[in-house]
Amino acid sequence: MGVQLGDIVPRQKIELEQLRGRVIAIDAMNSLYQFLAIIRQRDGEPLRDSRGRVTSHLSGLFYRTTNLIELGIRPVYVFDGEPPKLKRLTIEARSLLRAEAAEEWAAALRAGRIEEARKFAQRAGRLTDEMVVGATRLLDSMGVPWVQAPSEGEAQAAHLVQLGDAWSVASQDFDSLLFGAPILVRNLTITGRRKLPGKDAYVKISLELIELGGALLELGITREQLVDVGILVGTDYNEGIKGIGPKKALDLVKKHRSIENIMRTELREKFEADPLDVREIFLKPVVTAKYKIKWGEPDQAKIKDFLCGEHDFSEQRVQGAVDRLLKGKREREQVRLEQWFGKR
Amino acid sequence: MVKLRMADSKGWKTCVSAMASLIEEATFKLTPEGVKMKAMDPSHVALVDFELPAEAFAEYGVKQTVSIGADLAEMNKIMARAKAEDEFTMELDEEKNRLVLTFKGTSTRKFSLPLIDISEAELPEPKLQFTATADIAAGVIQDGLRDAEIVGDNVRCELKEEGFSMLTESDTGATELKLQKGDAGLLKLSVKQPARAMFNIKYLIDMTKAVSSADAITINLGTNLPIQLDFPIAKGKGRLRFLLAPRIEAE
Repeated sequence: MGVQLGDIVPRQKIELEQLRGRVIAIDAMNSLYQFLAIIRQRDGEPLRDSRGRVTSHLSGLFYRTTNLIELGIRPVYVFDGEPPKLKRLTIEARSLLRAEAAEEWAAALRAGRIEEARKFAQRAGRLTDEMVVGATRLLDSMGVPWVQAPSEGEAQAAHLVQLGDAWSVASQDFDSLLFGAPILVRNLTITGRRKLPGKDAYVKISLELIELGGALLELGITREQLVDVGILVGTDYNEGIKGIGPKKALDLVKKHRSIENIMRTELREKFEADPLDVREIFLKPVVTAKYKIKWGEPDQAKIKDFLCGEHDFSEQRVQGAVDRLLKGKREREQVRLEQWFGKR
Repeated sequence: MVKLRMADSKGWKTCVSAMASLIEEATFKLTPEGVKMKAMDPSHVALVDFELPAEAFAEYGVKQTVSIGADLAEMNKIMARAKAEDEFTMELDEEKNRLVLTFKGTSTRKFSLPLIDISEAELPEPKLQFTATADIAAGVIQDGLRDAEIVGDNVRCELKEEGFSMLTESDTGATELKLQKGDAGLLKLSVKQPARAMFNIKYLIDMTKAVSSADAITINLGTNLPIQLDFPIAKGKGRLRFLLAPRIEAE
């Protein structure tokens, strides 16, 4: 879900081509959930292998990652670790929502309301540990590096960029900005045509780039204040204050300068979690500098054993993607001119 | 009133065609000293650096610095309509925010092009220490690239005491072009240290296709550095330079 800052954060449309040669730290869970939600049959059923195991996330991960690599982009996936204590409530609330959606989905299917079924099915998508392990196995066989975050994946991804090991974070959530990601790319793994939920229509999803420094300058606040805006609106760690959207939150933070000052107003009563604890998660995130990022050779045999052998993917389609992966490996050799520009 | 006139349209035509193969939009900076344009392609692999001093024009009416943003593909389409020997004028219509291009030959033909707003930070000067340079007939390079294209995507360019070579290898075969001291195509060679680097063929073809095969291209190379290509324009008074980042094989 993440913090809803879409209304106020300025962004720029870019083309995939502009990311050629760049290392992009992708929020893995965020991507896998997207795949699970989007890659579905008409009635909402996810893709499954002959043993009934869900494979939507593997299909998305494999083909979308291949698309990026083919273009000479260097993805590195960052997986969530232990969630912060404050997230438990959110996690519980989400699993409740998913359980409800699953019931609605079944009901809609029984009643033959296909479009509605799909909508609920998308909300019912659940990522199991087994699915995550499958995803990391697939990445290993593709030669794509991944990093295990000690806590939040987005915080770790932002850290990779801060340390200069990646150029940007890729995630749908704006939380990455609160975690201090200097550059955030949205819609990376879902660009292209996408079906509108609940409608028989398609929209073109384009790639968006948000530069934290520029965004803060335009909003006229600091990163700390952006975190405060997030806290007012609601994050994964707190509910936010009812009736306060991003615009109102921004005005409040500009007027009172900080959450501490806002807590001296009548709004104090309305916080359920201690906003300072939430702020700590964003400003002092649990991250690690101990990781290795290395792109390897795709292992054709392993990829086919896993996808075709274990999960019944089409041999022909997988072979096509493997060929593109190999081509992409050569594409990575192309360096960018910036390397000779001195400091950027 | 900004007005630039050239005795023929050949030079501008060649430059715009070469630039348009790499970049879509460009900002020409017109100062009282001359015209400049510098831009990178969208993937930041190639850079165009163009300069034409005031004296290269038959008439150069620029009193104050102005920036003109143009769609290069559109400008190229217009320039393609010009005959090489047509007298060529560019005027800025500030009121309509347009660039007016006029070709005068057996008749007078006018085209106008809307200006576009391009905001791009000025590019820094890359720091490159080339170790070898050569002047080579453009036709030789063009041939070598077409040969290379048959078998692969990348070509290795090398400058040594003995001369210049281009090598391409792939699963489908190999091609090699050798140019040795004394060969007609090698006009000048100076090697401080042998240099070699690999480049994408498609980019090199795009960069070199507009130049006439009889002209000389000045190549600067350093091992695993970008290649720098200079084309003679306006009888050596101007500059049309391309930089292309190399491909570096993973360790």
